[in-house]
Amino acid sequence: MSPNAAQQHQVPRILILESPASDACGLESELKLVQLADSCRRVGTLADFQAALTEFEPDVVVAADLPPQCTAVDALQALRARRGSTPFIVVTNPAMDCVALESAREGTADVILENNRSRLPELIRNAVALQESRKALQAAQNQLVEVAQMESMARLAAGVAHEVKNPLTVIILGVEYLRKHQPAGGSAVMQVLDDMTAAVRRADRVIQSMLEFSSPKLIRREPVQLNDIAEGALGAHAQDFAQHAIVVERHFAADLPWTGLDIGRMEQVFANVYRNAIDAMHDGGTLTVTTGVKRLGELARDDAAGSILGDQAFLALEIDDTGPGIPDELLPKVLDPFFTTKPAGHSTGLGLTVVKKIVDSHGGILRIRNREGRGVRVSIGLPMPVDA
Amino acid sequence: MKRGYSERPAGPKRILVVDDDVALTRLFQLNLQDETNYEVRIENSGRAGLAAVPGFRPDLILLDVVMPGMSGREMAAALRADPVHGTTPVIFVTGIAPEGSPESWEKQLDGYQRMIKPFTIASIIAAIEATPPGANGIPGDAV
Repeated sequence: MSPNAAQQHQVPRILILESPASDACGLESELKLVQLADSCRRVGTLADFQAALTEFEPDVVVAADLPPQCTAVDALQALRARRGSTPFIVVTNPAMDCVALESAREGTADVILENNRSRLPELIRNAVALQESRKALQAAQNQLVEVAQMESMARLAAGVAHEVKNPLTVIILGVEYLRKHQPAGGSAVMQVLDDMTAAVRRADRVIQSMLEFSSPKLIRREPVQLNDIAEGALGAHAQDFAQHAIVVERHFAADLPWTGLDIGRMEQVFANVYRNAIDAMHDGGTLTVTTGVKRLGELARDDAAGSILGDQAFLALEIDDTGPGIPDELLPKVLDPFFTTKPAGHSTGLGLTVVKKIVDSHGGILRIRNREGRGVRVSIGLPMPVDA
Repeated sequence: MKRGYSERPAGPKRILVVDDDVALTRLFQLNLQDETNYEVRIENSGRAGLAAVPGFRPDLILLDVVMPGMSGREMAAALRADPVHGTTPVIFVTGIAPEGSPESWEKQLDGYQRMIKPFTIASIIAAIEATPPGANGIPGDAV
């Protein structure tokens, strides 16, 4: 059963606000007759009601037979302050609670009359279904907005990149020409030219990262061995590892299946993660790269998505460094665009954002955690090939 | 009669640079002529570049992609249809791939080489030297 279907068949959590003086034939008893009482909680005071809104997290609230010191308005205000648009149903006598009727006219609450309680179960089910539909619609709207924003950003990035890269090329070629023709004794001039070249390179990296971040999610898959990409990227950064006295340890599984991956983009993933590890181990350390096949539970124990993904197997990649790690309060932000802990000019802040985008495009998962002891572990799980 | 440069005069390589950025083409010319014995002609539009080919008879064209009027792709397509100059090697110089997936990018460029801006003059020279005559993706008939 899909997650949505499961949710639809779940019994809604019903919070009943009912006077303690009500007899045993209260609402809860009535709901029990229609199998809606399994997730009921009954409270008798406004204070208990407010506490239950937070602890119980009801899907629907039913108020009936309220005492004078706790009106429907009080309950509705408390509900809206804590639970937003959760459905609110008032069972009332029109002679005693005109305010409840007024609430119904304003659309903020459903009201049924004391002599028509038999409609209550139907009203509860309809209210919950309507709420679920509203949530689904909001989620779809949010997704459409996000897609539109990303498309707009992609167009903007493409336009900016094109317009900026030409001037950058002019500067690079101009610097090269000046370097050859600068007057004798111009060591300060040479330094300036070096600084200009470095600045152009930095600007170009920002543009590339921005383009990568905003590029379409389309990937081009080719059968490849994950170990080959990992090893190739290690080779490409060998000079950096040596320069910073970083020892590289490899634990590559020998029997990984051939997998359809976008080689260029996966190379970008390795490059970005290795780059972060190098920056974290500026004065030396150990980089450990491990590949294999792992269950979701081994790869991401605290993954909330695990309930949907089950315990399926993934092509696993783990990259560990022995740097200082990431402060716990910053861990939730490391995938945010333009977030960086490095000094200005040392990072675009898009490296891990791009990694997440590429992993998502492959249908994979990405987790970044501090290791016990020291350093960071970047865990990537990629879907196994269908015939593996 | 063979297509291509069966009667190309001997001498330094002739490089045609086509880009709508005037400063960029000027610096291309300065640097290339500084570093090599290339003869460099610059044009700032696709139409002017196409018109210059028969008279200048370049050994290679450095061609921008995004230009107003006739784009680099349009100029390359028109050149390829030329029975005499159709195999002139082309290297696209561009700041960005056009819209679409990598597959459509390759298809659009018909396998032409491309260099991504910004780049050094050394890298351009290396690319020019590594490109043999008639090596624009069309097989056969190269001199």
